[in-house]
Amino acid sequence: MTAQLSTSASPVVGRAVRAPLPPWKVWGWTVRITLLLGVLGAWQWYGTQGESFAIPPFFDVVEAFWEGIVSGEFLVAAAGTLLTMVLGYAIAVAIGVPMGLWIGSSRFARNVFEPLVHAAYATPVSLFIPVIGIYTGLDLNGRVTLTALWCLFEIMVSTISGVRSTPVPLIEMGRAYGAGGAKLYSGVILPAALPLVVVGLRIGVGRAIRGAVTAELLLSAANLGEVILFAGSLFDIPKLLAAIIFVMLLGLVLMRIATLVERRATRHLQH
Amino acid sequence: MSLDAVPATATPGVSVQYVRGRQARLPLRHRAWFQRTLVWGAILVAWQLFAMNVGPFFFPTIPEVLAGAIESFADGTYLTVLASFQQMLVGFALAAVVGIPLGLLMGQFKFVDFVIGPFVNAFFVTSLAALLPFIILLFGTGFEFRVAVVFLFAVFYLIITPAAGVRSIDRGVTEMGTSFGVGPVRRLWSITLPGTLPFVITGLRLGLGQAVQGMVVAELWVSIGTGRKLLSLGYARELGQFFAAAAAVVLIGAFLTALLLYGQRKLTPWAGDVEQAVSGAR
Repeated sequence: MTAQLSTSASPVVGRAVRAPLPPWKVWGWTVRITLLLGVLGAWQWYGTQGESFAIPPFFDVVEAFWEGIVSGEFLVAAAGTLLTMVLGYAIAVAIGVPMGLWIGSSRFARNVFEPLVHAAYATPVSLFIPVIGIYTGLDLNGRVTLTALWCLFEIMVSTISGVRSTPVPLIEMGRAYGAGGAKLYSGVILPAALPLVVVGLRIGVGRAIRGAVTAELLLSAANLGEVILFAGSLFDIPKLLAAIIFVMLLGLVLMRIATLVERRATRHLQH
Repeated sequence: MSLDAVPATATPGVSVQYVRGRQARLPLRHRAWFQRTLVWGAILVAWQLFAMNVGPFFFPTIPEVLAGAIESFADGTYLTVLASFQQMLVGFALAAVVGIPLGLLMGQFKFVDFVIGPFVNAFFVTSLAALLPFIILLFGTGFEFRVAVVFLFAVFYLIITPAAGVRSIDRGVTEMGTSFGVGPVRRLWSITLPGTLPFVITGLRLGLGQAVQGMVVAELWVSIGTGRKLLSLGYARELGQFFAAAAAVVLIGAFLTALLLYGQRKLTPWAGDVEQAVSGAR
């Protein structure tokens, strides 16, 4: 530690000097990496013992993962899943944000629709999997509908609280300066609601990918869901695990992108 | 949101907080109960007309749903639903026992947060439903499977919300405690836990919603319990009873959620709605 401090304190020409990591962070990184390696090592060790058929060695899964990527199978399936997700998400945004703005700002809409929205928000969407096919068919339509339902109310509720969070004095000031109707919306309410609306949109991304995957697993096998189900039915466990990890990583990457977009959209509010 | 400070007469159309007694003076067409009766009544009428038009194979009429509810009482569907909820509560309790202490640790110690935080967050945002085919290999299709799925769906909310709660505790309060000689145990008992309680209850509420979702998904997946009943009703197109059974799941879930909301208001009346504070973490 002292050696590191002295090197970073001495002037290094032509190279940016980074502040040394605080000691707890050094330990943190060590423990974090050790934990990860430990889990993977234990997995590899347990897998090679062959005690449980459900747990293959870690490197078999890595191999299957690589195979899935190189053969293009995972990527083609991911494109299909993403299409479902994007369509469902777009529908949810197109309905959720305007409805949220309306319910947030109109007393009539709040009286009448807000209890219904909260009831729908609390309803587990998966309940409707057995009947959704009756109304939309089981193909892309059904999966897109399920995805849209999965994230619609999250987006709507968040938009409502965004509008509600507009400080009343701000609206009064806007009114006093002669803003009304559309002007009041675009100049005062929308900017004030933006942070929470964007939070809703980000959480909606996560829910949309969850909805799409759930639909592909439970409603009708397709895309990534089909890859998982097929590998599972063949008891091709390495491929099953590889596909599951791929789906989870896909979700992580999408959420990461959504977080970056959120930061950009609300950058003017951060200092 | 300190809307209470605004005089009731000055409230504009947006962000109006109703003040008791004021509502009575509103003209009839502006009163909530009147608007609700009108619109909800219209929705029910539209539903009935639509259902009568398309026929029972496509959409059930209101009397059919009511008949389905009576039928569900008679043939034990509602007992199945209750049994499902009992099993769900086992997984949920397990998730609470594991998740809340872990969340408190994560909130209290930066080190713990740094080490396990990324893993918790990663699982929190990804699609856990993808894990179902693997969980089935590990636990079979019985009781353990359902408990495991409910646990997984609920546990991450139960970690992240209390952690956010500990972080939200005012530094000044802990510093004052330290300067008055409060030790770590006393600090945990009289500062951290009361300060975190509203978050813990909120975490339980959010986690419960996920747990119900997990319960339904798991039961649909292996076709057992309530899930099996719902699937068979869907296949048979007995939509009246289907909606009656689905409504029971929603209502029991809503009842449990309402209990937690009530508990939050009774136990921690000083704290407002803390759900906003967690939304950043999701």
